Amino acid sequence: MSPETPGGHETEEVLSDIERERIETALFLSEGGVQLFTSNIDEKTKEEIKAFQDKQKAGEVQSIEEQRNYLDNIYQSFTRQALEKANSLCKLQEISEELRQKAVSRAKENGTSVDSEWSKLIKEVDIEHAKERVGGIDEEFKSRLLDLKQQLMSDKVEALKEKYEAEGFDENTINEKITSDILKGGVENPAYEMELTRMSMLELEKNHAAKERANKAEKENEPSLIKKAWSKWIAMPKAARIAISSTVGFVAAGATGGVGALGLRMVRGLFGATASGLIQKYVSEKLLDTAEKKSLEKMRSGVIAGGEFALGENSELINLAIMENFALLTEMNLARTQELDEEIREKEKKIKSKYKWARVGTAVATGLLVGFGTGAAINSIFEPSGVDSITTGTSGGNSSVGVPHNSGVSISDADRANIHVANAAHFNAEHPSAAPYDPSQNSAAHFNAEHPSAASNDPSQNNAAHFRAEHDVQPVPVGKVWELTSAKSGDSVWRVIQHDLEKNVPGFKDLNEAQRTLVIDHYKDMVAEDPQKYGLTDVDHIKIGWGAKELQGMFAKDDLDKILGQARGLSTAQISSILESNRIQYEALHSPVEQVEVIAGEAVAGEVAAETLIDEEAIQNNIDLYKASIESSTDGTAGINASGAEYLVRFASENPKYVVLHPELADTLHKIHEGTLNGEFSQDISDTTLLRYSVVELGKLNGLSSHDARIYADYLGQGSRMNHESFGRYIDEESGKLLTAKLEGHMDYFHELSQSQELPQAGVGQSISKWEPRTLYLNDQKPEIYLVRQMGDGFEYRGTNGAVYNTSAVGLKAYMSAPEYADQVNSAIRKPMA
Amino acid sequence: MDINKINSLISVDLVAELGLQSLPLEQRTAMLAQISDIIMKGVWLKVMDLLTEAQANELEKIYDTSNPEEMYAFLQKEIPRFEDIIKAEVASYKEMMLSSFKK
Repeated sequence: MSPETPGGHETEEVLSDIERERIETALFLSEGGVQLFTSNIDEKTKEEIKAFQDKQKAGEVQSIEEQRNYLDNIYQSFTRQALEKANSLCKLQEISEELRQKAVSRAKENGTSVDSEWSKLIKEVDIEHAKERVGGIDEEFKSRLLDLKQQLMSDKVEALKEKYEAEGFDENTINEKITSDILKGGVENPAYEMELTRMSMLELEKNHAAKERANKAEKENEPSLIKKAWSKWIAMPKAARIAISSTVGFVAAGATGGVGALGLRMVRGLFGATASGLIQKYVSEKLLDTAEKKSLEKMRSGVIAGGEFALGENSELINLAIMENFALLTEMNLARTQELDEEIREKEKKIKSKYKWARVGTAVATGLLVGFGTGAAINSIFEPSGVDSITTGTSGGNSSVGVPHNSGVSISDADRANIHVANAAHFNAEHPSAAPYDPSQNSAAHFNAEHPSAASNDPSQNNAAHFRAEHDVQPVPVGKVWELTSAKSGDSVWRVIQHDLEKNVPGFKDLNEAQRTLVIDHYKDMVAEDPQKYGLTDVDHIKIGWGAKELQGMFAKDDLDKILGQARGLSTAQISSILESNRIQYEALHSPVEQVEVIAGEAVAGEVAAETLIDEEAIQNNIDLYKASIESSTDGTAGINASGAEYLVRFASENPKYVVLHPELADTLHKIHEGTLNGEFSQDISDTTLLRYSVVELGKLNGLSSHDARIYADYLGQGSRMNHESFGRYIDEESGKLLTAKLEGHMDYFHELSQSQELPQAGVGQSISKWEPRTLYLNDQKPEIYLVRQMGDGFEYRGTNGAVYNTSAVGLKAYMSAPEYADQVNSAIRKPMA
Repeated sequence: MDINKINSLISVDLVAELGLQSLPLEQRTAMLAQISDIIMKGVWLKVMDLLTEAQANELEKIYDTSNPEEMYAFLQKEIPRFEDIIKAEVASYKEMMLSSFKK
């Protein structure tokens, strides 16, 4: 070893401040997990360093000699300059000074030596705290370490170069050996080391390449474009260059000051999306291999120039070379775009005096380029093969698809997504004073361009980028033409929409049930709100073949992204609520057969016994009654559903040997089913399902069984009409808080009513009473609370599945007063509230 | 730029030439957006030069009331070798990039 004498105090019995600082720096970096050793340190020295550090960690007091030996060893790896830089960068000097003063103070207090107190203090130093004080081993710290690392590496390269030159190696061999030493040797913390190495090399290589290119451009009188680009690049702060190269050169995308916002959106949304998919073909293994070889050759040929680094045989570093090319490309693009923007601005000024349409700007061209016939040429940037010669002409417009049909490439949704994100980031960076650029407007513009006859597509509130970042569902491809479903026999609006979404939205099927429900409902609601717009008179009645034409334009990208985002953002409570509703619907469709038989018989035929359902004639009568019910219903789907239609359908499907519905009737009933299913969700969740769910949960919290809680919620909402009107009386208007006492009082009242033996009565002049809870004894079943009401001359009762059954006053009285269950009735009363 | 050169450039695999095949997705998409932007703007500049006022007014009407297919059909009809303009722009872009990278 040939260490320099640190501070010239090697013969002193006490370490100098400089020695102490350097030792502490090395220890600190080591403790903090930052391994800055370079490669030329031999194994024995490494072991000595490690042994010293281990002893230090264990709190062993080490002699001055041992400490100096450690420092000598460290000097072999770190240069003294590097250690000083580390001190400076890490502010360790300040910490060291504080510690030193503390040690002196303690030594005085305890009558001990400063060294022993120092050693104790070192053990007590909370390394995490210390790291916090210097910024921690975080990004900030790392960026400061980068400077240090570069110095270390530069020092090391110079040392190795000298060493290998002295050993007589030729230049190429020296370069190879240095590269190998730097990249492979002496790394105890490879991940961190490599990260620092990567950053250092990126920086050094970039600086070197940038300078070289700029010099070359200057010498060769290169066009102003390139000079401008590189002078800009070099003038950028280092941090900005790192950021650009690591996060991609948004800065280099075109500035469009003179181009209208519409044009900008069109450019981003259409052109970017078109092109983005085309590169996919090139990301193949074969091409990658070729690229790596090329990069490798390039790197090898440029190893170690002017004391700086080139890249070695390392795939990570190869990427850096690629990145560097990318950086150059983006810079050139920037320059070119600026030139074009300036030209366009100038031209538009002139045109404005002549043509009023100048505002259209690039939008027209963009729309044209993307949609029609230009794909082949654009493709050729990425896909030279298969492009028509210019003399042969190319395609005429190929529909309104964003992706040229002849590309043979499917655009990656992720690429599209990134295009939007990139465009937004770029635009916002380039136009800080402008309103933030919403990437969704690309799609909106695109949509409007593609669907000029459709209602304007408002892109507001879209958060597609956020959605993409966090969700599995792929963003909806820009420019994709949807394959829309035509309704088949048995289909409904719901089902057609579901098919459309499943077919056209990647990942839609992977959403959970509640999420899918929310999205489908959204579109079903659109149809329900304005069925005429979609070629319907009633959302529950569609004809075979409906959908493919009528739903064109409904699935605007931004709207879809928005609702998908909402779906993925559903809270647990919302999901539970939707699932609860689904469960109710499921129950309605899948109640025990025995019950169905009875209900179906009673619901339609009044006095028809359940067993007669197996009688064909009786069944036909039932069907006829259903038909009449459907035709004459004035209460819409709910009324038909209440008549028990769903049970007939379900029963028919499960018992085909007993019930064969006329196809047309089955079709109609099926649609009613679907409509009913949707109907529950088609209302605002916050107004219906969510509130109902909340009330059910509140009921449970107040001691109600699940069954009673659901009945109570239905009572409060008077059937399925749970909304803010029905629930609002229990909400404090000012604070918005739940009026718990009032609600509990109402629950008590609910229970009083549930034990009443009185039949509910409609008000004067009315034929329908409110729903009221009563305890019923149905068919020897356990007594349970149902909702009952007067309906004209008869009565109805309603279970938790929402199905409503007819009965007479006598029948209801009988259900309400089964004496053998009296005891159970009494015991079924709600438990006292906690 | 003559036709042969345009054709020759059109057949060049620019991405491979620049060694950018394995660019990460982010960079790839950013690059694609940039290139599309540039080519589009170049084409638009040419279109602006070539349209007469009457044609421009007609195009505006089409833009306001119709769809891109009709705009395309209009330009294809009114501007001779419209698609060649696009190809020329692509070729021009490639040439610029290739020459810059080779320096």
